[in-house]
Amino acid sequence: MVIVHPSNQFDALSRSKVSYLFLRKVSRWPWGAEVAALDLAEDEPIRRDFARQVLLMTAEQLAEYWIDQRTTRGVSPPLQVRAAAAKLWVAARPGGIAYIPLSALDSTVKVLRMDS
Amino acid sequence: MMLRRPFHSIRTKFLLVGLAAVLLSGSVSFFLAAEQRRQLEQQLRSSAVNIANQTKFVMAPLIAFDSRDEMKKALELLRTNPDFAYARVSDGTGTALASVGSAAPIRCDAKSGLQVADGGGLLRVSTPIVDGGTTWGCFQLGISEARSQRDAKRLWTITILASLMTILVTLASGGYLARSIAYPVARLAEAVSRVEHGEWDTQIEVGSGDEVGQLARGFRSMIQELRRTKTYVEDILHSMADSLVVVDREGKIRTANPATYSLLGYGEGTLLGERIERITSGIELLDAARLQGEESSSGIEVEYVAQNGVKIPVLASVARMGGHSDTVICMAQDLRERKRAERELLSAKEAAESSNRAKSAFLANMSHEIRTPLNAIMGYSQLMLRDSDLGWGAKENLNIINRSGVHLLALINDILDMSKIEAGQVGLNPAPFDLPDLVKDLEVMFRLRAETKGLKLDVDISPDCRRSIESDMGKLRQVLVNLLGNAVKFTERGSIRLRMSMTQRENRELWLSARVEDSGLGIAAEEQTGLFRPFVQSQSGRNLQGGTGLGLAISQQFIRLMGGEIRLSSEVGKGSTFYFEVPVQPADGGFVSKQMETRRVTGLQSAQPAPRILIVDDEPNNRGWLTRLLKIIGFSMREAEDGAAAIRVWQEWKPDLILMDMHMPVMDGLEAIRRIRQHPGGTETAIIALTASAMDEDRRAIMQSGVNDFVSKPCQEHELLQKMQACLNLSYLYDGTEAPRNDSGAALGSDPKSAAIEDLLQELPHDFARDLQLAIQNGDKGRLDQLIEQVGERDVAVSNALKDLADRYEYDALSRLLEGAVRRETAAGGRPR
Repeated sequence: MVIVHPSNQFDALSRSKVSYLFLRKVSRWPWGAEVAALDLAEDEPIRRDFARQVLLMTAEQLAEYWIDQRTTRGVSPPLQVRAAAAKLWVAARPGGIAYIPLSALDSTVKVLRMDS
Repeated sequence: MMLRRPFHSIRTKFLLVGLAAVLLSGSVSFFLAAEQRRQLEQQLRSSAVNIANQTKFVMAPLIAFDSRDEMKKALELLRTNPDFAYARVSDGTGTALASVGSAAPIRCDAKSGLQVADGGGLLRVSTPIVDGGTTWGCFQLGISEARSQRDAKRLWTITILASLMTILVTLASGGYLARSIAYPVARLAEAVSRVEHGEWDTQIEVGSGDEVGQLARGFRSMIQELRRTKTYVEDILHSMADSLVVVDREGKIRTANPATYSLLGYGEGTLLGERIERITSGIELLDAARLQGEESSSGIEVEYVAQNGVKIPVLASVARMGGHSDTVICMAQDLRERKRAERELLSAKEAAESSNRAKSAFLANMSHEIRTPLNAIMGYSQLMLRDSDLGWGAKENLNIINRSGVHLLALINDILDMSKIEAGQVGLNPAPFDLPDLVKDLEVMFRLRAETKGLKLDVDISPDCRRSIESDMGKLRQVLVNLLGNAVKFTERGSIRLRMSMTQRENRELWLSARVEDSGLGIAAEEQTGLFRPFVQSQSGRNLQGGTGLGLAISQQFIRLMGGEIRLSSEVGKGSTFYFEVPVQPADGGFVSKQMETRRVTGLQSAQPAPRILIVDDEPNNRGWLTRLLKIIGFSMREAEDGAAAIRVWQEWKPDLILMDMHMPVMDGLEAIRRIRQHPGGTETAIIALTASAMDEDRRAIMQSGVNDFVSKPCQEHELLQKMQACLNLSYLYDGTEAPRNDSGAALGSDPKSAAIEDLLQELPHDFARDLQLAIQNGDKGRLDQLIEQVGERDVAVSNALKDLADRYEYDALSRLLEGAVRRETAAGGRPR
């Protein structure tokens, strides 16, 4: 479940737009807020599914992508945190965006729907 | 002379090479420039595509979130590219989202993918922005081609400039090379070719100091050296006095020096290329030099033919040039002068010989002319001395006449001998003879003469002498007579000594040595050297008078002819010694000693019919005394005054012997002898020629005419009688009773008789000595001879000695000898006179 700060103007985004955000290809929201994307720790069960369904990559491809990004563009990968921490972090930042399991969802964050 | 400029000259080659280099470098530059430009375009295009592709991926999220500021920023970044013209991002509908730079963008078709278009100085790239299956929009990029085209233009300019530079440099260097190499080389080549064509004065320029210059310098000094050598050789050829011709292998004249032209009269240079046969028929000598493989041969006499056809004798020498080639060098020396000199020499020689012959003939004639009257003088004076009716005074006068005749005869003989020696006409006539006989003869001849002068004659023949030897006795005898005669003549007291000995030398040659010593006046040292020259006499000889001064000269010449030399040692006042040695041949025994018969013939032995003698002489005087003499002896005589008369008498009278004079009018002796000998029975008559000629040639002619013998005029009585005896095989009666001498084996030195003449005379009966002296005083030759013959009854040697004196009319000596005997008889109480 992709979550954003409640003040976020978007309710829904296409999968490719979501993937741009998480792959740090876009740095600011259309209203100017800085995109602050978070990744989950390696051992979070949904991380693998997220990568495969949204980013269309395996975990290994993802790791390679970030190595490549860091070396060619100087872009470092997003922070990797626990799902609980991710919810708290997104709630505190207007431009924040993360993904968490459904079980950890609460009203402090806004769910960003993914229309295909 | 125009310089030939062949297409392949060095300069043309330089130009061609330069042109090729220019073309090559131009085309390479052009190719490189085009390639460069193509690469530049490609590079521009690919860089434009790259930019478009990269930007496309960045733009997709930005379009997704419609963040136009970000887009703008991203596009602004593209301005850093210097060729950037414009960039535009549009959405799927073609609406521009962000745009940088002025642009006239091409239509973006999302479906058609990447498009690149070129035009208007811009490179336009248009690409759809597709990501994750979504076509987000379109990205358009414009890249200015200006810079690239500028670069390309600059490149072109550089290329063209470089090409032009290359052409210029090539042309310049080509020109330089042409100037510094091709032209000097061409000029050098031209000069060398001029020299080649004989223009020896051609100057060779020496430009720079480089290799071409060195080459030119080398050529120049080479040509100078060549010119020097050529001048040197030409100088040699020009200054040669002899002709020199060089002939090549085809026999053509390659070189001929000026001497050749002047010798043969051809114009200078006209003989070159002509065949050698044109100037000489002596081509075979050239062939000989070639064929025989010899390097050279010289001293060949051939003839050259001049232009006017005159043949010129030359002394030629030929040699191969350089030793082995077929070219032959032929030198020839003009022999005309030499030939002329030879001819002159020859004619001079002939003239000299003919004048010498004339001299000889003159001498022969003169001697004949002198001897003929002398013959009469001596013959008649001798005959008159036999006349007992003549008084003392008349006989003394006759003696003087006779002595003068003898002297004159000796003089003529000497002069003839000398002239024959000088003419080289004297030869040796060696024959075997008995040496002791000769010595004894000499002893007898000189003993009385010596002793009448109160001199002692000592003859000594060494026991090692061979008895029989072969030599020219006549000349030996003449020499010894001369030496002994001189000794007697120049000695007043003391002794005269003759010594003979013989030695065998290492080479087994036998040498006879003779030595005549006297104790006479001697000869001064300064006179000794000239003594053997003709007509040179010592002071004492001149004082004594008489003599010709020829005796010693003749003797010396005779001894030299025999291989010896007369030497002399003398001291004034003490005496002289003459001695000589001559080589002789030993002779075997068994020869007949031709000892002169010295006994007087008184008549013919009886039981012989009187031999008929015809005497032929144009001179009545000569006939007269001989006729009378021979009649006394017992011959039957007839006379004829010339050859024709002689033949008539011979045919009619058939004489046993003819005494034939040679020189007569009407028909001379030689002709008469020839005719008689041709007659049948003409050889039965013996002929003795009488000749006044002393010339050997005449004698040879006489002997060849068929005579039995000949006698020189004036005739010596005993010689004539002896020869008549030999011809007619006669036996004479002599005035001695003894048989003819046969003293073989008797050593001369031991002959007691010859040493005892005076003793013997002492022992003569008084009356006999008186009679002798009386006969002498009266000049009664007949009585004297008669008395001497009586002495011969006692001692033949003594009578011979006396006869020798009497024959030479040495009456003084005879009467001195007899004086002792007469005086002794008178002192012993004999009858006074």
